[in-house]
Amino acid sequence: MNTFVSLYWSTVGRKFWTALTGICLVGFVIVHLVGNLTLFMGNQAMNDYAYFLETALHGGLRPFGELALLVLFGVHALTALSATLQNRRGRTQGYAVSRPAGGRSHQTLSSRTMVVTGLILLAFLVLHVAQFRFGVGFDWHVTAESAGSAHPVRDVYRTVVEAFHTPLWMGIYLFVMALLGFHLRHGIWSAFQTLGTINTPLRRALFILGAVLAVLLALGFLVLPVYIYAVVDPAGPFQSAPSTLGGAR
Amino acid sequence: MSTQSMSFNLRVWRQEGPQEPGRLVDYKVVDISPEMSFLEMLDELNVQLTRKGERPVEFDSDCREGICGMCGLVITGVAHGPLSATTTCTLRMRHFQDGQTIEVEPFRAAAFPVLRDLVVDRTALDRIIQAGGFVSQNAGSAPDGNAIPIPKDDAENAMDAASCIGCGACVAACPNASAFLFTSAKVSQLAYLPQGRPEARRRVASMVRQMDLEGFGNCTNHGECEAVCPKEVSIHHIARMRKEYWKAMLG
Amino acid sequence: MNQTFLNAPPEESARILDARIPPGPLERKWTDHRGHVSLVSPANKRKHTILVVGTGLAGGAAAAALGELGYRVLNFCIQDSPRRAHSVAAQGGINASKNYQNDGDSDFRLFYDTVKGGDFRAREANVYRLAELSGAIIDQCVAQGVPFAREYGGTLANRSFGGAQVSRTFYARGQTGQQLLLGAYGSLMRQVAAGTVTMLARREMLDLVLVDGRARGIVCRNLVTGELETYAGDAVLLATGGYSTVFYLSTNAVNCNNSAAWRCHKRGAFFANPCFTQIHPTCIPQEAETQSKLTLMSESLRNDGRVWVPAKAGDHRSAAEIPESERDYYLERIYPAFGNLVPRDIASRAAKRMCDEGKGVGKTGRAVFLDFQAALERLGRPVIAERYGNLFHMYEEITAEDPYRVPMRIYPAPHYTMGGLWVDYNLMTTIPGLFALGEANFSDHGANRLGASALMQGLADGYFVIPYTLGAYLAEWRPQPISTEHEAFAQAAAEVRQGIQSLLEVAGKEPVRDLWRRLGHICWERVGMSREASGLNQALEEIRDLRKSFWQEVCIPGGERELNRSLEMAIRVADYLEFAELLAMDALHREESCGGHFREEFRTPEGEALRDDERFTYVAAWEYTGDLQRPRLHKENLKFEHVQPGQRSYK
Repeated sequence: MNTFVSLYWSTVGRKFWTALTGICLVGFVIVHLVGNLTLFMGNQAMNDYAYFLETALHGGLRPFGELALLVLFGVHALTALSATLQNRRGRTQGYAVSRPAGGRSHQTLSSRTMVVTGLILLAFLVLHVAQFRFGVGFDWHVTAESAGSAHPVRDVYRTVVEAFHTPLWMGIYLFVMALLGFHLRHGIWSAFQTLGTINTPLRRALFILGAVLAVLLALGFLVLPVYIYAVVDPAGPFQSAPSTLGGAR
Repeated sequence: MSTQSMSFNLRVWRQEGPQEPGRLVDYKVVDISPEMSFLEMLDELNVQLTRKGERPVEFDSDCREGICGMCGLVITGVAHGPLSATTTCTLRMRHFQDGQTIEVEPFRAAAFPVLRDLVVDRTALDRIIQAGGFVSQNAGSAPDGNAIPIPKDDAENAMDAASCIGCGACVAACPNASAFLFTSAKVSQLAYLPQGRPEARRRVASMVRQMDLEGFGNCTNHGECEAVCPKEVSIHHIARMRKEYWKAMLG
Repeated sequence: MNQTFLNAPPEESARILDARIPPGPLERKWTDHRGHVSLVSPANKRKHTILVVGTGLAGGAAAAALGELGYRVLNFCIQDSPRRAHSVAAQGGINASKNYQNDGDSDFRLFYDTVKGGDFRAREANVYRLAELSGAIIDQCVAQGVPFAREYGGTLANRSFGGAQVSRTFYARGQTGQQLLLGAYGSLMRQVAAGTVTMLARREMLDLVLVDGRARGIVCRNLVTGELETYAGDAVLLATGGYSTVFYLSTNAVNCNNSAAWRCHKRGAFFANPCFTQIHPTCIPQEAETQSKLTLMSESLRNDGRVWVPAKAGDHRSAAEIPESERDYYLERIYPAFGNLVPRDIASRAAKRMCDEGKGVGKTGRAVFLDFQAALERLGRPVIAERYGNLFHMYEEITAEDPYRVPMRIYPAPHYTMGGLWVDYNLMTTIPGLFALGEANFSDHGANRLGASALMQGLADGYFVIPYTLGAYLAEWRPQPISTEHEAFAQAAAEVRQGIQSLLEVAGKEPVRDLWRRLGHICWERVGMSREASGLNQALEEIRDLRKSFWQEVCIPGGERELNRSLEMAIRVADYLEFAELLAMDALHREESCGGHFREEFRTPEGEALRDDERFTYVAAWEYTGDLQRPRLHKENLKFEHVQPGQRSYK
């Protein structure tokens, strides 16, 4: 019988979740990039944005968002990994010679390395969250009301600026953001194909549009560190004080 | 008749049985004319081997005009060889360089065990069809052929999907050894036709489950399958199968 | 070897074969017969095991239909999957007297056309039944999800095909056979899943097992392991196709062979009209000696293509260099009424005649042009591409010539065999319990088959005839259960093994393929498109000689109990060497020209086929009397009550 579980955990069923979460995550990446762009507007703008995220929906947006992201990343990675393991079992004896057929194929280096780029992105994510969410930070009092109160926001701007003046961090970010673009090059159109929402003309358009979007997103994320490294003064001036609350926020 | 004669350095997979280890063996084949098909070239190799008292290379073929789907080899790393929209039997030797080294391997997938040399067992594909790739229609009870009008476009789309010859090249070419294109071609054909609708949900769920049980891989949208498909069955049908599947899953 | 009888007239049996045609008016025969035959009760059907050999349109449809009824069916095929049977390669379409086009079609007209097309050598009652069932086939296939071509209004599209003057051909692009077969295959797979049909692929039937004079089982070779396997049942249905590959080069698949039918013949089934072979006019000419098969292109091409040769013999200019005035559109010239659409046998022979006169084109001079220039100018490239795109593509792939710019070159090739095991109206052979369906029997096409009729016959036999006639046979006989423990099975298997052993013991040097090619050459040259007594006598001797050589020179590498294509092929060729003799003998005995059988000695002053209704209005059914013994001729007299035989005229 076709049970609930067998339907949802079949090859087709599983990839449904990979694709759906993938599309949501692309949405998240876009929002994230837009948020990051406030950096160009300086200290105040960025931390205003941070303050907004912290306080929106009576402070409910952040925990909800974090939980949602955790689930999205978790499901995306889990379903994709288990599919990859299944794919490995699909061909136990490999070819001596194998090459892409070209022509109508959608195979790219990006499509062949999804699991690798995905895993690197996952590792980076841990690092990224540790650094900007749980790492040592500085308090920033966004508004007059919040000045001196016990509820400052984190001075994200300062953390970012300091991080991107470290060549190692800079290198890691540049590398990973390029990989993100690489991951999305196949990921975006593929998700729509997996959801079965596209016909042939749309697929061909999306195959190209997906690539364009992937490049734009990667570029967006790449421009920031370069801008900070080249333009923003690493010494500040910053108006924040070492955090009283540590990284536990 | 062409006077031009070609020769090739073949590296052919030889394997005595499903449990035996296999390996690539080098052969030199001579006196090949450019209009010969790839399989006729192998026939000629076999004649040359037989005359030398060696065991001929076993491979599957039947119609030799690209419609039965029985032949299928991975030639220089590509299923059915370098020419698109072609089966192994209709691939001509003029598409190769004189003196070229050509690797010949069987279609490889865990679900396609090698029986001997280049012959593989593809009955897994039959079992996928058994799971639901049909309309439950007993002989004798059909309504008049024109009783249900079918829009021309739907009939054409169904025909596009139905042109699958079941050769298994999609599986062979897929980096994941996935049978999505094969399975989706049948699901999509019957989904386009009103006759297929009553069983649509059960069909797609059962066929996908059987496909998984056979040990095929998952589809990660490389699209290699479409590129090697001798009938150019589009991955559009994979998208369509998935849509049918969501209906079964969510509905 | 005893060669004395070869040139003597055949020994004739005094007994006239009874086809068991039901009484009553033609259009009531089948309905009445169906309504009166005994039935097997639903509860008893599952107690009957039926062995169906072959999974083409006839075999696949029969196995599926019998499974649906509840019989226990064992279905055998030579390929790795039933979907590969050679029915898959039929391109053009399937006829049905639906009269959807309101152009005057009817069961009677389809019947009439088929009897006339068969040159008045078919059995009227069978042909009428075929026409009567044709409509139900379309209904069945549509219901199965066969994507037939449709009009914008959603109704089924038709085309005129193979010289028919009504549009009664249903088609699915150029892949009608494939789609019909996949429909039957789907039904078959459904029965496999339901447990009524057991599919046994990669098996080749090598003998029929008789118990008390009835067909009770078969011996098969498992083509993967090489083991001999025996299967028992209450009836055996042979749907193993024709014997065109006796010519080596034909449009048939490379695994097509006549061994199953031949071995049934040796067990007592009469072989009817073997000399009725069809040579299809629109094939891609042979290019090389090493070619393994010929490729057919649908004769629908003749709907828009014009056939021509240079008017002068020995004109070797390219097509473009030959001006209109120096071209001979010979079909339009000789047959103004039908022009390029004359039936296959006529078109084929005309092409051969042109080439014999030195007007052939191409490197070999064995080809004529099929030109689309006029149609391209009239209809434009998109229309032609829509109609024939896949065929043009196929042609270009094989010849490296673009038919949009250069005329195609075509030449006739062996394609279909009207002859086959003799069957009565119920499709039963002269062995009780052995039925023959589709191309394997001889029944419906007479001396020449019309285009788009083979698919019709296969499916009619499988879906709609055999379920009734087999039931009647079982209900009347009420068989006792049998198992392969019965000694007849071991004995038959031992005989088959002995045959295989003797093949393997020949320690020759010749690859089987080369010997087969030699046999094909003899048959094509002397028993091919046109035949004459001296050539046929010569063929008989050459076949005997080749048979002797075969048993001394053949080389079969590898052993019995393994996957061994050389051995498979050797078994088939050994049988063909015996069968070819019967083919030539039948051609020699039939001193007339009719349909696909053309004797040089018997033609009208204009060179057309000249029948001899006085002497030859009968089915020649041959009885096997032993190896190297003269076969015995049995006659089934044909009565034409509804169609008056006349000279076929397509002028």
